[in-house]
Amino acid sequence: MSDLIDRYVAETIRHLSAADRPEVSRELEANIQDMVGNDDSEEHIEQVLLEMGSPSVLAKQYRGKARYLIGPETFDFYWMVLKLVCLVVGIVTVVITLISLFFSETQMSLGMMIAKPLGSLFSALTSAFLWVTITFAIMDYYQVNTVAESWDAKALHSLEKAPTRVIKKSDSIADMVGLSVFFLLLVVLFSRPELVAIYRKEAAAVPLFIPSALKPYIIGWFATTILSFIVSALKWFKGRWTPSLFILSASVDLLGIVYFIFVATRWHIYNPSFLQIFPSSMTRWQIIVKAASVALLILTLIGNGDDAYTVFRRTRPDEADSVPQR
Amino acid sequence: MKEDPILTTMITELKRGNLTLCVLSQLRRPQYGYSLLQLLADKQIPIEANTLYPLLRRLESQELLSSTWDTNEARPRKFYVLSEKGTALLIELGKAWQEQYQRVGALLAEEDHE
Repeated sequence: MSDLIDRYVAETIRHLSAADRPEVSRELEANIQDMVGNDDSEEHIEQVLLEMGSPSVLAKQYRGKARYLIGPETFDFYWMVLKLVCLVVGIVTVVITLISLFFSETQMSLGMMIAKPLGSLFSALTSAFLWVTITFAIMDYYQVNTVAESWDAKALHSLEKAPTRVIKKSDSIADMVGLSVFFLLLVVLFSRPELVAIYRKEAAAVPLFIPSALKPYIIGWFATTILSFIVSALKWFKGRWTPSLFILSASVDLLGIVYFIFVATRWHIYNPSFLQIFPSSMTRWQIIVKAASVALLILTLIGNGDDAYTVFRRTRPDEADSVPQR
Repeated sequence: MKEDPILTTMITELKRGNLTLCVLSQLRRPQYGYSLLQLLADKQIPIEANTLYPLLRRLESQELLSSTWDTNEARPRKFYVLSEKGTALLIELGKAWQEQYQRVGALLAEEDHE
């Protein structure tokens, strides 16, 4: 029994899964012994092992497929998601850090004011990269399929020569950034509702909300915000309007606004002592909230109507292209 | 003549495509790794040891080959032979190869006349 062969076999099976090791080890050793034959001089053994090639290459052959952290099939999708996540996380981090700098009470040098956002940006991007990569690596490990299954030439027909139904990437990204910031504000509102208050020099601050009454509604608000975020991500991913995407987007918008109005008109969430200072009575407050609700609803409907026009307009893109004769 | 690296790669690919068929065809009777290696080499189908051994194992995991350890000899040896599934597959694969061979042959013959 040669020491060299043992080492070679051990070095090869080291790269294999535990289940494969015993059998491959036994078989490989038998095969190499056969190749060595009766001439078990060290030179001959070395020559045979040289013929077998590097143990790690051999192990790769045994495994049958190359190993990747993120395989070639997944890579394009990974890269796309990574760019989006980094962009949104980056902008949100800078916005939040700047806001917190603005409100911070301690004096800060100009250098610190530049260094702090850069520092948070760096750590936010690092963790965004880390988590996206880990997620994809796990998906790859468990062979989650991220490639669109079937492709149909019809997909080409629905693409327009002159893209008029394009959803601007920058719009979707702005939506996602806005929603992320809003989400963080909701988190603050959820944990410290008393911060929204009238601050007076001579007396204690009067909060607008009654925390215990408001909190349950915020949870629902988290949900609608997340939903809107998902729709924005979907719009970014698709890049162009389709009727179903429009219906989804419009319903989520409406859901969000209806939920907002629902929460705003739960009159018991407001602190009576706040309303006595501004606007001096509950009745007036109700009028303000109702007027604001109607205004918001109209704005949302206008926004959706605009989108609907883009999606469903009669003019076909090739007609739009052609210049009138006269 | 100096060897063209592109040609070498293409020839290697061509041979690799037929490898499984060659190996299966020689396993109607039981063989162990090294004996199969020699058998193929004798028939002008040289194959690298580090390609053949993993291939045998893969074919076994695909249930095309069955294996038994022979421990009666001085050295223990693992013998492989075609399974029922492997035999059926060999026939089909062989047919496909013949068909391909004829078609390609026809294409090449066409060139000769021009």
